[in-house]
Amino acid sequence: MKTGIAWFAGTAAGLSPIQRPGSIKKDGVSRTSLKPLQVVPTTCEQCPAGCGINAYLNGERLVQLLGNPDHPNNQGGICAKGIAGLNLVNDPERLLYPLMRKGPRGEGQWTRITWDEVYSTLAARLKKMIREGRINEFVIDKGHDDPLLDRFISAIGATRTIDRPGLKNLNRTAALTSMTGFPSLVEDVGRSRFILNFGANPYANHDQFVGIARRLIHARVEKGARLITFDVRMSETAAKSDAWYPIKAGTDGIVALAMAKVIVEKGLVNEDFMDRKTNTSLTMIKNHLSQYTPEKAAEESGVRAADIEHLAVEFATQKPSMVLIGGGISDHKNGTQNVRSVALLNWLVGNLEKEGGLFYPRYPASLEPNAAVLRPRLNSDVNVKGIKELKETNTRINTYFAYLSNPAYVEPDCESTASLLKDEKTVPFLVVMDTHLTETALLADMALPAATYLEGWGLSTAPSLDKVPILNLRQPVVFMISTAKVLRSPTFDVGKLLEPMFRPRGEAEEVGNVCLELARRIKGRVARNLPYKNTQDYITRLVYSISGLKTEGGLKNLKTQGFWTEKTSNSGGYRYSGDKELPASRQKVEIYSKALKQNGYSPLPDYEPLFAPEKKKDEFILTTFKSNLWAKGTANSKWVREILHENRLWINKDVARRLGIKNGERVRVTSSVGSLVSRVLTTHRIHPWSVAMAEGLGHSAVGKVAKGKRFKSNDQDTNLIWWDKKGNGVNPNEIIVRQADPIGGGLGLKDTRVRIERI
Amino acid sequence: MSNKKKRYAMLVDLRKCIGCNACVVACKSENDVPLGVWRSWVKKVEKGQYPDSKEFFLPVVCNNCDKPICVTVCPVNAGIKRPDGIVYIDPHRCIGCRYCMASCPYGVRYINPRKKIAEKCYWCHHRVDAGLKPACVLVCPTGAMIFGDLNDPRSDIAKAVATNAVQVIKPDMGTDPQTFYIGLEQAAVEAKKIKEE
Repeated sequence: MKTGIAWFAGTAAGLSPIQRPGSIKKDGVSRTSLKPLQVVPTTCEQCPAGCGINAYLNGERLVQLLGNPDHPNNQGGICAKGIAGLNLVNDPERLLYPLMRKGPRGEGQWTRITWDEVYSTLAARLKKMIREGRINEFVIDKGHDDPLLDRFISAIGATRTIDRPGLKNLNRTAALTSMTGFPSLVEDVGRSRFILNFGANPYANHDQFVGIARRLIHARVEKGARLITFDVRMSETAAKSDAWYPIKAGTDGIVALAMAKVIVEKGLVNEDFMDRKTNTSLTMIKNHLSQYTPEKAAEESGVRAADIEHLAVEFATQKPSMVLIGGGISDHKNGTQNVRSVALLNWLVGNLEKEGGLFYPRYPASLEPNAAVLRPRLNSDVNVKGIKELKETNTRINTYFAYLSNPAYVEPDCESTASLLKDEKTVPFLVVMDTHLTETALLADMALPAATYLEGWGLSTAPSLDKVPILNLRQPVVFMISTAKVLRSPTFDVGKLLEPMFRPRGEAEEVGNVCLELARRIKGRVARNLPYKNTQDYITRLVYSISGLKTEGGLKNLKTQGFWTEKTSNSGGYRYSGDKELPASRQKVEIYSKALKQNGYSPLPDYEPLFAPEKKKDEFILTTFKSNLWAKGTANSKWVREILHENRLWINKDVARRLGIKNGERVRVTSSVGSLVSRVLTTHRIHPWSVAMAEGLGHSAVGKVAKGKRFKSNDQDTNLIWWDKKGNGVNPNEIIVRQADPIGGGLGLKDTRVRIERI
Repeated sequence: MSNKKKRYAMLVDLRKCIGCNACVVACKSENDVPLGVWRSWVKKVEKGQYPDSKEFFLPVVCNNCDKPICVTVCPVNAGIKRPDGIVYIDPHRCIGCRYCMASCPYGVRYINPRKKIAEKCYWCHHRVDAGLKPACVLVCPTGAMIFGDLNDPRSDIAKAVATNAVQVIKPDMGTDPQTFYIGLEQAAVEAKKIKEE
């Protein structure tokens, strides 16, 4: 009865029974009907930057994703990957139903099963493992951070987690943590005047891609800041720098140390900062650096000594200045010390907590109690890098659960990873939860359809680039359930009419909801630790536990804004922060690391040669790079694949001429773990020692778009795929040797020596 | 300024372009452009010898010329230049004869493989008429693209064109292009694009 009255009242007032989501701002228009579109702000999760995006809905249909002009980090800018998120949800080849393998592993024969069967199978396995105290046989391969998944992992007490986002920058994280206590620092590039860039490519790929690129460009064009790039190849950033210094792979550390020596000897050190904010005396550093002369560095790296000297002087005298640190220097076997050496330049001139320099990351003060929930870090001592390491330590595995992770494709030496995953003795039960049938999912016993980031709830903090700290809301924007459907639904409830209802496509499910249902079935302590109805309930409770946000309209306001900035915060962001705001635990930068000393490594920033003495003349060092179009979510995106479907091997034009290789010819590239055939791109934009290849191509699964094959589907475009003859590139991970830096533990992904022969 | 005639124009600040292809994908998404054809693209060009090599990015959209040859040559009057300067094609009139494609010095027109008619970039006039920016301008991560009314001296584009040296592609064609560039290198226009990476 009550239901009837509410329904009547709603229609009598002439309101649409479904309250439209978001605000109807006039910033979207339908191309065909010229009517304004509904706007729902949400957060992009194609990469870790967490840009604010606006989803445009035409009735129930999601038609476009564009940047949110109000978001303080990206300010309306959005990259190609973010816009192509539309292809991810609407992909005709998405995995939409839970599948169970029939026939042998990797044959691709499946039977469709129900979620109920999935839950009972997994819950039974987990229950048994928990009861018998063998929960460490449950391996979780986490390709994407999800707070409920993390809570589930700690609730069941699983200890073996392969944390892919955390593994990505292990060397840099280790180096910066050893010095500042923080795994990453905020780079205030927008206010800097002189930026030395070692191996970073913020114009194509960065933790804060659009936000950083926008500010860097602004500083360079509008304010005349200088940007100097050291890289083995001319990245997009190097192309748009004032100068590009090609450098021998893995030798950035010695260049930075030589620069440090110049700065120290010319008396350009910020002595006040060194005294008060670091744990090392200037004399100690001076003595340590005496061996790193610019001449020695020049011989090792190929950068001229005169250039090293004048850049060092400019860096120390132009203020504010900063050093950017990227994957190009950290993904080496000497990566940790490389990063420490480069970071030393920042400390010598005192670029910490200063406008135009580096800052400690800040979160909203009222979020501090929830910080652990929002940015959960798993116990870092359990540092599992992959199944290969588990096999080497003879760990027994009962169940291997991969969420949005594709180890059979992304791991270096991926073929041996795939064969380990295929082996039923090593991995008795493999569950893969992903949006597509990836290379790994094809080997699985059970493939589960994952909801995309546009179909679920999330709450995250992104490091604020120049305003107050930000909290981002991710809310579902597809697929809306129509009024008619709600009315017809057997579980009709008036509450559903008042709020827009979204369901993931097909039977796809958010991983959070899967964890909650599993917890309910496992019962006991696990269920008590996860007392939420669903992900929306979890996010709602989280939002209302944040006091500042509660007074500013809570979830309702957050849903119309898409993000929240803490205006009342005393810290006022980091722009004007003084000394007393420095985290109390880390008042001083530890240039001299006791932890490294205890473990038998050089406690001061040091340089370890990698290739110079024993690199043979016909050997090249293979560098992989991420294109500005690459993200896991764009693997099967038609708009992205149309632009990026081939990854030729970059080779220096002069070297190629000497070897008699012409542009576009096919060559065999051989490393110690395998070989592949690729076409070459002869170019003047790469160091003669290096060859380079883009990541993210050469899929053997995922979908026909990723494989570059034309097919018929509901989407007419798939019949227009025109690059099938060109193939879909090669996967460089097949020949990358798996070798780690002993200090940081990060993999030396850019250390593989290869030989090249014409075929 | 309301009584004055509008003259829309586009400005691409090449100093700010990072070659990210966001404009290309945004255009595909906004205008439902099929695979294999483009209304906008980013041309990448390599110049110079190692180690003094250079790479240029050149985003290309239709110039919406002030003297559009494509409109003049159309045998069925499907090409139309609006009073505010936007050149568009009436899809109901176009017979797909490709005459306009042959005449365009910039190669920005294509035949839609589904509809078999000529199409091109028209600066998202459906968005502009609704008071919005074109999709590519809105998404540009670095704000390299500016769109607006040249006749309004307070507009961003009028200020930028007045205070910077601007260039256009192929000025010698006499088409009076209205897509301006800052920092356009002749080399980037003439050179062949880099083959697939």
